[in-house]
Amino acid sequence: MVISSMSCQWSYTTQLNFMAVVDALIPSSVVTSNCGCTVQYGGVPLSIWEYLLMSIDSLPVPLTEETSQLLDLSAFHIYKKRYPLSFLIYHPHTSQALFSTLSRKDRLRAINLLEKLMVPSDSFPVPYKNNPIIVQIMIDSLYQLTFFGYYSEWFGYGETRIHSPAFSSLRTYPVSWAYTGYPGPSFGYRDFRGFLLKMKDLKQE
Amino acid sequence: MQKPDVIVIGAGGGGAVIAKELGELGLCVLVLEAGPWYGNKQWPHPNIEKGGFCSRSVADLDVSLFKESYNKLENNMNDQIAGKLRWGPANRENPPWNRNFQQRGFAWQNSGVGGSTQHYLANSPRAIPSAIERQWPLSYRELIPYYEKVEAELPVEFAPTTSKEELFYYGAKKAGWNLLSTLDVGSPGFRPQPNAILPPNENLLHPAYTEEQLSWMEGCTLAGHCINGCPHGPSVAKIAKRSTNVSYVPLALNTGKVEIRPNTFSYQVITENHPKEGIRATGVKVRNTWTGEKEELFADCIIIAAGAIETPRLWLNSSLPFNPWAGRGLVNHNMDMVTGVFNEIELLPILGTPAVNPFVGHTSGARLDYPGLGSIQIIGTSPGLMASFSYALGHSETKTFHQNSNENAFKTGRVIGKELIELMADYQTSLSILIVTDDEVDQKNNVSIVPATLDEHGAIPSIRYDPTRNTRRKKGKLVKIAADILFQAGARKVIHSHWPDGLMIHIMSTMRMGYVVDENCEALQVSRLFIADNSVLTNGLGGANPTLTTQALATRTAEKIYNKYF
Ligand SMILES: Cc1cc2nc3c(=O)[nH]c(=O)nc-3n(C[C@H](O)[C@H](O)[C@H](O)COP(=O)(O)OP(=O)(O)OC[C@H]3O[C@@H](n4cnc5c(N)ncnc54)[C@H](O)[C@@H]3O)c2cc1C
Ligand code: SF4
Repeated sequence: MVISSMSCQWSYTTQLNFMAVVDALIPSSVVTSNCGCTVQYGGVPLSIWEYLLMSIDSLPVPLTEETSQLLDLSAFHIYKKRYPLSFLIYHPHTSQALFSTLSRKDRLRAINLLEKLMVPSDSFPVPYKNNPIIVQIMIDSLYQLTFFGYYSEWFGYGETRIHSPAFSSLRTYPVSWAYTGYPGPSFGYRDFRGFLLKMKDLKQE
Repeated sequence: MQKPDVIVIGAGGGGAVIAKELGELGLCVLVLEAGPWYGNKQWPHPNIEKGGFCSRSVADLDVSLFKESYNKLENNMNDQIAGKLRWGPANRENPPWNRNFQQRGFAWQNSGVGGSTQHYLANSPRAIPSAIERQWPLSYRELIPYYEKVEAELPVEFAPTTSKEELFYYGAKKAGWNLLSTLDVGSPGFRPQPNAILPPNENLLHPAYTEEQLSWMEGCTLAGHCINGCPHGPSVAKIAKRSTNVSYVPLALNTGKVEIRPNTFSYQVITENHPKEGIRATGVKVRNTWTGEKEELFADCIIIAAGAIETPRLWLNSSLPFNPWAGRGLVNHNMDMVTGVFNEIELLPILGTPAVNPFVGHTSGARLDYPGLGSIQIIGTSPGLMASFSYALGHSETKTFHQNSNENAFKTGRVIGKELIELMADYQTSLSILIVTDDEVDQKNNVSIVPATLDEHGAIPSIRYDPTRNTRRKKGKLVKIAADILFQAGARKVIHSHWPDGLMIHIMSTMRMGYVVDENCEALQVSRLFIADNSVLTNGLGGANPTLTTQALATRTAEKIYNKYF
């Protein structure tokens, strides 16, 4: 698996956490079909974590570092529950990318705990601190952006992905189109099956 | 331009209509639009450079530029943070404009000439008559001539049948619903969507023409990109889907009386205290979104058509007189989504093909209306939008598929991982249904401003929406009806997304007629200030998509303004 790392603008630990999110939501998997077994690449090889990073840093208030920390705090909460007697201490620097150390199942749990507001929020970074709605909206966005990025043409922008969207253009086939059978943009289809009603028929009534 | 007679703020669903109507009545109209203008020679690179200042000639419209911008790629078009059709400035290197939310959800709107009709599905039903009668200061009968005028102007025609409509009709009939052959709905039933989309190209089935050739001719090609922005047609004014940038805007420019300035954000309404008229509107303060330059502009009447979030924001940021309903009474049709997945083998006898192909045909071509509850409407989108709206947007629930009382596989909430991959592998055999609830007006639901959080245009809007218990009950019933139709049509699984309540797609009723504006849409407390967008709707129209009614009212308001002040 080649991880394209065109983006040096985010700390490595933040990148790891976003890869870990995307990998939990859309992992690479083996798909069986009439033609046998094939690999369906997940969100990490399709660089969807970069789409997440770029999107979240393009918000009116950029939030990638804070969101990464949020994920670490939820991971810390899970570790703490699991090893209640240990001397685990959360530190924003030394605990960076803690979330990415969790198993897939636990990462989903960590995301879910945040959504369900089951992680104490007084230690969250601003603006998440004691602001449950913003936490939930960000968790919703992680799902939404991952799914939208993955199943849209985003991967196809190739090396132009990192540009401002006004300067990117399709460079390669967006492989996720093959996963859904979407033929891509179209000029038209000839699946015209007539009309059930016409306005002129109503007007005559 | 000399001092205009009228200034219109916003060139979207309502603003473009009132501009054209007033222009035809002979008034000089200046339209101020916050976002970009796609398909106009004055702005050949609308997202990259400042371009021109204003446009007042239909000769500026350029269909090649239009098609270059509207390239049908969903991430490029629909991404809400950096897409072409987003709520933000033309320069995509800048972030979208900020909003505050008091619950989960987001507001899905577009800036730019055409406003949110750029990505709308062009569904143009009239209001449910029983939602108007005795609840609005106007009767339904008074609206009919204006509906007829807009239906002819756009024009509106019933959607053609493609596979997904056929499957829906099949399921609805089997579930016992009747066809409604009417525009004025009084009883429950299904029907094709009345859509503001030109009828299919006459040569669509003629093999002598390639699809590409067809896409340069007049008429819809059933290409399925309505939600991504439709680029198909021989000229800007003849694009198949009738967003206002291709319908009313060319007609407005044709009058020779209308000037439109994109990239111009209005941040304050200017008023004066007049000895006879009391507080009255005289002008607007604006800011250019590329240069930051500010300006004050004056006219005899000011019309706000900035949409149901920015219109109350502008009112509140202009310190206009206190009104207990300003910004209040917000409804959003408390929407949701229900998706059915079918087996090829079961589709074959119904459709003659083994696929639904949700990407073919009008994005939404069929509906079922149920006066008192709302409506349900089929939706077929490109896969990224489908994955995010059908499978990402719900609440996370631990339950997986279970058999409901009829032994059918039903699931509520988000889908991830292997399950998502499998469902999206069935994209071609899936059909989604949008739930559009006739939600109740509640004064607690509102758009307010957050004085402590400013952007370059003042205090940002804050949105609160919590459905009443009755609204929730209605939504639950509609979800059941939709799931039943999908199962009757043969779905092997049905997924109910369970969207957050704060999802804003139909945003209405924040400056209600009868409360903030009178029946002619003039502000009760500020003379010469009119509103011509979704915010004046007194309620959610019984679950009918709002734009046609807003456009009918804008047409009516134009007449009233002309008669009263000119
Ligand atoms: C995906 C989607 C599909 C939809 N499909 C349908 C459908 O099929 N049928 C239907 O009836 N409705 C549909 N809608 C809703 C539809 O988009 C709105 O009903 C309609 O656009 C509302 O018109 P409006 O004039 O209120 O606001 P808008 O169309 O949003 O227009 C407001 C305009 O004002 C501009 N503006 C805002 N503030 C300022 C300011 N301060 N200064 C200058 N300009 C400003 C904006 O940039 C915008 O251009 C859909 C919505 C979505 C999100
Ligand atoms: S289906 Fe929609 S996008 Fe395609 S041509 Fe018709 S209106 Fe345009």
